Amino acid sequence: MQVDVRDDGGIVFIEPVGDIDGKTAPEFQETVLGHVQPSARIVLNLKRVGFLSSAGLRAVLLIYREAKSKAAKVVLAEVNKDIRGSMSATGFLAFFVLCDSVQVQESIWETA
Amino acid sequence: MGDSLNVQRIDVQPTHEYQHYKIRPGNPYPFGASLVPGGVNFSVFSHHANYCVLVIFEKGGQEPLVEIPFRGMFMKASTEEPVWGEFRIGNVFTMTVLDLDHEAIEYGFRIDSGFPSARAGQPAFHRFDATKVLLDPYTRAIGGRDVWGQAPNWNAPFQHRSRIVFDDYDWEGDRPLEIPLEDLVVYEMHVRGFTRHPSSGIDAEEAGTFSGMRQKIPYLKELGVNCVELMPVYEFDEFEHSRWDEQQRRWAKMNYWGYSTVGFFSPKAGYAATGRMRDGTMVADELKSLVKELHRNGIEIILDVVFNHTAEGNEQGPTISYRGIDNATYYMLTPEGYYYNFSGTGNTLNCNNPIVRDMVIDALRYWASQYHVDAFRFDLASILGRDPWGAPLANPPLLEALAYDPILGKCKLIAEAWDAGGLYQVGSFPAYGRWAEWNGKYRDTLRRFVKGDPGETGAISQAIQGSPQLYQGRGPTASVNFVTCHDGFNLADLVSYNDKHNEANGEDNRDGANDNASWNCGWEGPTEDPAILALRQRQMKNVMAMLLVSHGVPMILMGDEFAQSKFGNNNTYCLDTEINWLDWSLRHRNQGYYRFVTKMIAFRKAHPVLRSKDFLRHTDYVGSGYSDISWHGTRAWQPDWGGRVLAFMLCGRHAKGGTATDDFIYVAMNMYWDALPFELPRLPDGTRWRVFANTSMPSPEDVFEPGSEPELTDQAGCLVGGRSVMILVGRSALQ
Repeated sequence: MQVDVRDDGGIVFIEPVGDIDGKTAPEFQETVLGHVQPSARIVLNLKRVGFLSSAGLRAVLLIYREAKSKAAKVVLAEVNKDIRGSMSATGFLAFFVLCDSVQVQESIWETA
Repeated sequence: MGDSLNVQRIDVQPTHEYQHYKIRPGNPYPFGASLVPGGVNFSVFSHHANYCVLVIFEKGGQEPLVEIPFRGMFMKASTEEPVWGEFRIGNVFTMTVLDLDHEAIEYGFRIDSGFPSARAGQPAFHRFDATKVLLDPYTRAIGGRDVWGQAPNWNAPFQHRSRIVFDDYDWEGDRPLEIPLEDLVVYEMHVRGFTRHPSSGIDAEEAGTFSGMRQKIPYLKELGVNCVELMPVYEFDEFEHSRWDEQQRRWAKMNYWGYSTVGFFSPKAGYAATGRMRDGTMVADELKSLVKELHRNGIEIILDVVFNHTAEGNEQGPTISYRGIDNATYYMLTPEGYYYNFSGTGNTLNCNNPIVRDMVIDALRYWASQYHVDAFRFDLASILGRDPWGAPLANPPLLEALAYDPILGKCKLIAEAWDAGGLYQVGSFPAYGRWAEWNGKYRDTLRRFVKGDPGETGAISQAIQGSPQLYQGRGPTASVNFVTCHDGFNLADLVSYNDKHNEANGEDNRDGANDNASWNCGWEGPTEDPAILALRQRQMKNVMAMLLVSHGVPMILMGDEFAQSKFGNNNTYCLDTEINWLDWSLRHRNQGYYRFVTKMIAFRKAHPVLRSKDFLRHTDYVGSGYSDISWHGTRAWQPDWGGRVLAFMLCGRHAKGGTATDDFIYVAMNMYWDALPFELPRLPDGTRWRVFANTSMPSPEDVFEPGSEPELTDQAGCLVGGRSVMILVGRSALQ
């Protein structure tokens, strides 16, 4: 799957494009994990993700866990209403910090 | 060391191909569809079948992607060489299909045999029908009824569709709470009904779902219950026996309660806000998330499980799964091949057949281990003690196996100890030291006593003690005490109606119980008469007071905590309407009564002397000068066993068998219509009577905060109002 990545002043912006499901989740996960460096700050922008299946949810959680283990930080940005609803109902939302925009305020990183 | 952890399996390569699907012989265990390295393992049992086909669909698709037989000609993997193959071990058809996108598919089985086909409506031992695609009995998720009430395509041949589930979940250290049974206060509830009403404040997309319920956990904490009992959450079909009302443009009748299982391993997708995503794992995650949050808040979860029958009905019923897979194994059949109907719903699951027995155990183990469920309540559990021909067994293998099962070892097991075939086992259910029972006799006794029937004091004294006349040798925790449950009148109607009013069910008021031991307090149904309304509220408080000071396990019905009426309908099984949805506005409209209930629950939790796991002994075995329980009437130490009045006193030094210290508790129950003076038993020097509750007083003087009760002016006696309960606490003046 297409995953756009750009490093902007020490913050890595990762923007997958399309659905993240059983078919695409492994590739998405592998791509993103390649950018999870120690102490990195990562904005995972889900603006162009229409659907996150349960495999997709697990991929995002595994990325988050990997980041934690490397003292890196991940925030999710521009998550659409449906995905946010699924994450909330399944309890996955509690693991993440969400931002409405990719313009992440400095204070957010403290909570991530 | 590290390398040894990453050893590759040698059984992930295909051995055969079928229409470009790569397959290999599977593992028979576990049954169902399981994710294995590189693919999905399928396994299904049938003793009498001789042919089986795995049918795979694209999710939601009507035409199969492929039908892979478990026996026949295949291609040898990676060649064009035809080869014969059979994927079966014993009576289990099993294969692994590799490279499947398990999220994108649904599956079922076609099964056939050499037996002649049965005709609908006719008796038969075997009902194989290779034209049908069958649901996997072990499927962990089911599609087809993904959003509650969203009508399916009725013409689709495969209505209930097996899906594949990731069983992983991050429990964050959660485990079952293992709260002692005697310390539970159970709240029986319906997932959809709990938050479906607009007054719940839950967003429309989550109203009536597991997620909606999770958002209301703070309310359950406020109420004070520490256990929820969910009416069936196994997948069922809300459209079973449904009826559309063209005039009203709505479903007049639905299978709302859900006592009709389609799949024993699958949560009801329509109860999940994520059901619309058509992703079985999300539905499972949503329910697990609810369980985890309940546990975080100190609340256990009981599932009401229905193993006595399935949704396939009788000879006329639909073929969904079991009857097409192995009818003679899964169902109890008469010698002519008709379905025995001990469930009252058309068929009876053949629970003491070894195969079915294993399925029941597997299902419960699955819910206990994968969903962290704390307890199970078995609907019409007496059926689980019948042999394949319906005769009650002295030592039923299934009940024994459940009692001794290692994985269920700390789960509470609760029986509805009767069935629709006339077997009534309250007090005699085969318990093996494990099983508790819904105590229907407690319900009937308390109802009669509260409505003022004379001569019930002996029976009520047994009920208050946890029914030792029924459960001697088992202890009071064998008794789940309740006055109302989903079946029958709720509490508001118990004090507002003499007779059932079930017209809304469309069965000419023929359905539902006729003997309700209810009393309308002088007027049938709604009234503006303040005296009648006050009496009804007092009667409800009397019930709650007695229930919550009884030994045993109290159970409260959703809605009874703030007196919601069902307008006299005592059998609302089919109504997906406001009659069944919890009206949260009543919490404020009836706040005085609601406050009374919450304080009574808090009182029970504050007093270990009310929560013994052993029966009271009627002796002083701690040297306190008082026996653990003593009986009284209007004169202290002189109970009147023939009337409508009874009082008792518990000595707190005997709390928890003498291992805990508590206050004295005195409860006077005056079900006579006039006020009566009660002489109080004398307390040790320095100990004073204080008033915790007096149901004859208006709110807020009817009940006080446990621990800050006002002292009684006259320590020698008190006046207890007509049809009222007074609860006193005897505590040192220094406390």
